[in-house]
Amino acid sequence: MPSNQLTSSYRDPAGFVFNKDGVIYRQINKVAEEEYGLLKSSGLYDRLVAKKLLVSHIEVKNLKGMPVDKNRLVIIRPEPVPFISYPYEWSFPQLRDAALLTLRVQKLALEHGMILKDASAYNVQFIGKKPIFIDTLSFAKYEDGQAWEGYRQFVEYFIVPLALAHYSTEQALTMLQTYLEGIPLSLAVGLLPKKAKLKKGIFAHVYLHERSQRKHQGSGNKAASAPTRKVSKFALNGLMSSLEASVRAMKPPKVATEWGEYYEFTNYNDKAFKDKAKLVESYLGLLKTKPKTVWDIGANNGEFSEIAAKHGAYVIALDIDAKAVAANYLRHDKLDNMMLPLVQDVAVPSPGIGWELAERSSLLDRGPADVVFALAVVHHLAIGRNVPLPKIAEMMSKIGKNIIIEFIPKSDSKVKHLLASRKDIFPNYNPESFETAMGSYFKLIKKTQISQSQRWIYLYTELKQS
Amino acid sequence: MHHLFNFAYLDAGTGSMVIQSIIGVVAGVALFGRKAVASIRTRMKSKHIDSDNDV
Repeated sequence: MPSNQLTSSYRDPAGFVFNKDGVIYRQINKVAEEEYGLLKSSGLYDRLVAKKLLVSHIEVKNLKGMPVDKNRLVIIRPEPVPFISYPYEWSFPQLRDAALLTLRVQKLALEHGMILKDASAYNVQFIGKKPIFIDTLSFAKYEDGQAWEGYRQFVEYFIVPLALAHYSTEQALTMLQTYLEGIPLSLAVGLLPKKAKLKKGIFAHVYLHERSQRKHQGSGNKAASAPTRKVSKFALNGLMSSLEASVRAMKPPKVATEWGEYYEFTNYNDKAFKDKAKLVESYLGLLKTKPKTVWDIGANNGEFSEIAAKHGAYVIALDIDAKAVAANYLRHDKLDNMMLPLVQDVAVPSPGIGWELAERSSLLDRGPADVVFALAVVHHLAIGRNVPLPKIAEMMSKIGKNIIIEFIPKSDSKVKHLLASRKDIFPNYNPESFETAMGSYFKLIKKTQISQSQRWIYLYTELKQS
Repeated sequence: MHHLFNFAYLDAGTGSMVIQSIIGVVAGVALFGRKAVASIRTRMKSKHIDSDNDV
């Protein structure tokens, strides 16, 4: 195996993903020859790719520098995914759409005599606002009477977290960061309210499922006589239909969140808001090179992310508020494939976790971005979260090469609001200290006061490239 | 031996395999029933329209 095999790709004996010279490849091993051949010959691959449900790939002959591997069947180069994200970073509708995609792929697979080997949420990625299946090796030959091995995984990755969020808040979805292999059924039955049993889908797929698991827990010891029930194709199709109905029946909770309707209640009047937008756009034009990637921290519903997307950048629109992220995701226009909204608390960003703490990359490891927008964010970090300005500047230097950042002084009513219920222990929260902190890592290109406000917008570029 | 099980890297769990056959059949029958009722309704509706046109 090459030394640049991805840390997240090691479980499936059918193959693995690796990085060579900045390009992602997938090695398919000889044990998967029949399945891979059937994927192509059955027409399933062509159909999934035509419907944009599966990443396309090309077979690569004679990739230079590859060590000899007697297990290797073929190397393929899949269509690249611009930014890797994880289920615990998705909003409710994103996880729901990932679930529906998995079921749709499964349904098509069955029509072509194949079946999904698993139902991991990590088989799905987003290209902009569109989910796409990325695991070409997930398909196996379907044989009559065969049960679906991925059923429990589907329930634990999709049905359980969606149900928990449905009955509480979207924050429940972040449990997927703790339970990387799906939220266990046993935990689900303990956490879901009793009224969840009234939903027939949840009753069947969670409660009855958990009971059956518990009942047959020890049956692995009697391997020779363990009950193995055949599942007819009729029942399998029924199961898929039931799972789909269960996913569709779950709606996000109606609880209002702090930032869900932020842009309706800001400090800006219309003119000031438009001026801010024009400023951000003009700053993008001042950069030496046109940015390919932009991270918009505190993106909310994506108003400013759109400016970067219109400039041709692929935008990661990050916000702590899952409802705001969902609103952004559900808003559709021609920039859909240029913007990926994600839930992220930049004060506690996604860490590196999983096997050897490297299976799922930290947010910082997935950067830096060409440009970071930090608009109306600094005061929340500095005052709301007690992060000193030098630390904020250091963080910015790790995630972005160029920063468009807004500083809001204490005289602004939003900052006054933050200080209203606490002692002002921030003597160094002022424009001078902010500029000094940023100056340790960045060169100031321009700063402008937003009209009819006391706020300033800065354009910085990293010191090493200026 | 089932080909899939040769290289199945996922532990599906016996309980999971057992329950899906039950849920699947019940759901399949329900789905079949709904489709049959919908089909009958559609046919009765078009019969009704045809008989109205005959008047």
